[in-house]
Amino acid sequence: MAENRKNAANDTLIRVRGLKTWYPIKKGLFKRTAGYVKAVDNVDLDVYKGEILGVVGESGCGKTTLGKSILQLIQPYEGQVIYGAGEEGRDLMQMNKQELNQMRSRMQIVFQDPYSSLNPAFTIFKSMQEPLIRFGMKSKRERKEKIAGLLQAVNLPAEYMERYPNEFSGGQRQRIGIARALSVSPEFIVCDEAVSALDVSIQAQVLKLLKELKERYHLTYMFITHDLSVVEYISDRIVVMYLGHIVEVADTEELFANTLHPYTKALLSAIPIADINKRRKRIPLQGDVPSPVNPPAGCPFHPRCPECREECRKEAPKPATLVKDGRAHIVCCHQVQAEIS
Amino acid sequence: MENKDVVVSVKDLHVNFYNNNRCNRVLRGVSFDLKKRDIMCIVGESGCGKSVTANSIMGLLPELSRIESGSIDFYYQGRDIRIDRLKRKGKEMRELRGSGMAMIFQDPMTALNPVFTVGYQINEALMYHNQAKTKKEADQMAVQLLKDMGIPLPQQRVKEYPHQFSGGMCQRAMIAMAMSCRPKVLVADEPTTALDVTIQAQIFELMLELKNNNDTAILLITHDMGVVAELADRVAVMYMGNIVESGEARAILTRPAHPYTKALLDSIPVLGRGKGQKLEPIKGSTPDPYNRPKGCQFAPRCPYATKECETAMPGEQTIEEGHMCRCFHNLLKGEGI
Amino acid sequence: MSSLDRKMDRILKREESGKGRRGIKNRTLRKIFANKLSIAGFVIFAGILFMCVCAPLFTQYSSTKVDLRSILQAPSASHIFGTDKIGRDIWARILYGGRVSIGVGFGSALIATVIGVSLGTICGYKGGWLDGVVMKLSEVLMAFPQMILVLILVTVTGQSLWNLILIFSVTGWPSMYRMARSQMLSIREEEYVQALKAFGIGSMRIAFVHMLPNAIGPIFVNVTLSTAMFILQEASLSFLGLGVPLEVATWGNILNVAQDLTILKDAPWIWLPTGIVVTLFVVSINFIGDGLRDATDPSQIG
Repeated sequence: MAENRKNAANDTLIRVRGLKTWYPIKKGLFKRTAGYVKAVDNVDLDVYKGEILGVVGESGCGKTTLGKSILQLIQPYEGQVIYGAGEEGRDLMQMNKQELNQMRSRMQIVFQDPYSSLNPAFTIFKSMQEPLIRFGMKSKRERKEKIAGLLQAVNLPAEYMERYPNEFSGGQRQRIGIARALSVSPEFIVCDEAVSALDVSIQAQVLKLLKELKERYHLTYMFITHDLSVVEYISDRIVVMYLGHIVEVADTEELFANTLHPYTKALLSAIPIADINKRRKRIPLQGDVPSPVNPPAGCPFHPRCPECREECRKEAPKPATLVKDGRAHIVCCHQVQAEIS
Repeated sequence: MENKDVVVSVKDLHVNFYNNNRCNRVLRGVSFDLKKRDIMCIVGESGCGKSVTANSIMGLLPELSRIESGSIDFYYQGRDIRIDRLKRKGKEMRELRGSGMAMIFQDPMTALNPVFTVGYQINEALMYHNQAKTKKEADQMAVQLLKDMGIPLPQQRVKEYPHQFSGGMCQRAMIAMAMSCRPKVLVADEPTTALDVTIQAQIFELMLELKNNNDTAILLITHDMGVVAELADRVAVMYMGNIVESGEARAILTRPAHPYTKALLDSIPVLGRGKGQKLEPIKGSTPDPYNRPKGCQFAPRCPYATKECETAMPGEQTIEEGHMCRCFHNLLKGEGI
Repeated sequence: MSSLDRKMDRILKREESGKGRRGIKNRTLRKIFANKLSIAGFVIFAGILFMCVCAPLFTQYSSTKVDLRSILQAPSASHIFGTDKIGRDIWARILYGGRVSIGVGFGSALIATVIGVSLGTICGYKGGWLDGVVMKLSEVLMAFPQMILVLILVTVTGQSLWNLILIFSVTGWPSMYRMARSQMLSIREEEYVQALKAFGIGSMRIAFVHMLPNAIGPIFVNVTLSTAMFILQEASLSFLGLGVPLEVATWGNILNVAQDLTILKDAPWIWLPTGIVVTLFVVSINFIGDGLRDATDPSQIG
């Protein structure tokens, strides 16, 4: 692990540059565009091959939109999503529909709600064979074998493929969802709140499964969640988002040991820890997350920031990269940058 | 009344649901006491009956369900009120709700009526329970309540509609409403599950304040062990309709006696323990409520289960002062307790 | 003790005797069978339908044969519902007329459903300009008085059975379209639809193969209810003389003669049995439709 993490920079799987996903707000009789909801605003991000990249933030911070924008399930407004390392890299946003559809076998998604992610009218076999047909598996016997193998890979008996989704528990459905994503042998999977809807005892099963599958199939995950304890457990690197912007990116250990951004600090302190010996001081945050329709000028976090300075109100901070032991720690804050320089 | 601090006392409560022409024994003998100035947490997974317990106390069980046996005593204004015998929609129960006991719900956005202003809805509660005589007085009280809850610009906010509030503010307005009559008991059913962590922290501060200033007893329903560790004075762990273990929060979290509690604690990632921490998932999944195990409900998933566990549900055992456990093989036995 | 309590006691007793749930497992079927009205409706519906389809088994008369020797006869052993002004057997006319009336109602409902549901499925899933155009068109059609449309078509092409079906289909699809569209709009948000998109599966395949089966319950209910509605409309248009040509026996055309006051007063056997049959048939279809709606609606308790 440690070996290939050192040269991880050479193995970039996805490079996101200046990505903006803005939803137009239509007003009036003629549906004039009156403004934009800036769900994801000017995001730069690298996803390295073979890593688990955690994306955390509160609801409405744009983490799910970011994941779906990378997969082009939501049409971004502007920017680049370059898939592939170095020379091979191609911009997903420049591709036509056929090319994009071919790419769909390389990147997949696992959804949050196990109750709506399977078609209730179809058996598991019928639901799962669809992508196989789509990617050219003609014979039914072959598909049956493939699906049996996939179900076994997620620790479910192969006979389950003849059953309907309502016969399964939430955890089982989530595993079927994972098996479906694996069916086209992807290399990159976005897990969108994949364990958030599950009971705590089931959560651990699915988390362990995801880790195992990653090793077995050499996958890269983008793990989107609001739960920092889960993200700490599973991720190699963590991205913290606030109001459509990335505020901090660092390796998991580094982020928890050396938290820099005031928002990340407040977020970490707000989380109830299931260890009674660790009750600690909270950093109370005032107010609510502002609406992304008219975000505050300057740094998006400044109205709630306990360390807000004059320039924060006027100018949005640029991401600054600190390098520690050869690993980058990116932070987007005037205060932190002032302290360092 | 052996202890004058006890506000609500639930004894051997059995509740059945009769949906879909089937009988689901949701609560199978739940007993606990809720004390003044105490935060009691009920934790458990979905379907374990924690919300049903809360709703039984509030007399808010759904239509096709009923209390089969057991009792709920509410000690209020020197009287002993048997909630289980009151008519669910009767006058007495209605008067008790709000003035004697109040409830806040999981989804604050749907718990407020979208067609009335927030101020109007708070006024309504105040007037109904005779906390305010005139409309003007009620208006002033509503503003004060919102102010107490830390909502900025309360004069303006009372005139706004719920959709103009954020989720956190709605929940604060709900708490304001619940606390308007200074109830003895506050039942909070997953009050922060729909909210973000930074907002959740604000709501918890508020609940702690209420407890300290008003002597309110709080029954907090949650599935989050983190919340338990942060807030609870006492904890009851529920599994498939039984309280399997209850006691002081510290004792339960550090020295769990029931295998389920231990398994639950081992299966959740804890912030700050890093990437290397070991998770031990509980094997299998919760049983079908219509096809329950015969004996101990946890036996099929329990690593300590023996023949004995498959035949009968173990009774309540006090294993140490204030620490109850329902297990034949309580894990503290070896420690000489 | 309330009825709810009794119901709960009954269930409890059955569970305790160890029988568990008996009978039908499928919730929808079980709910339909528990609904006595819809069962009664189905029996009446099937009875009338059977008799109309197998009309020659139940009467030896023809529906069009004029018999001037026996005009305006009251019910008797040879003509159980009597005869009309030109001596045609009423019973035979009800049976043969039913074939046409039911055919028109069901046929129109089917065509309207096919048009409405296909458009609704496409528009509900894809949205965009097509949806806007179709939506406006449906609004215009729903606001347009049907009677005027009928008059225009009758003056242009003359009366015929097919015209009626055409008009019913044209005026009937907008409601099916709106229903199918709203179903699609809610199903579209389900995550399995997004999962299919993530596999790059074509939108037509997603809409028709994967989403439509989940909307089939409400669609089916709507088919039954609009069949009943079209039968009534056929009857009222024919009663006014604007529907099916008079020489074809339909329920509306039988009733047409009741415009004459003397017949209304002196020969109730001509219109009363027909009226009862139409009412029974329409009510029975509505009962079936209501039963289906309750059974497929998951928000109903029980």
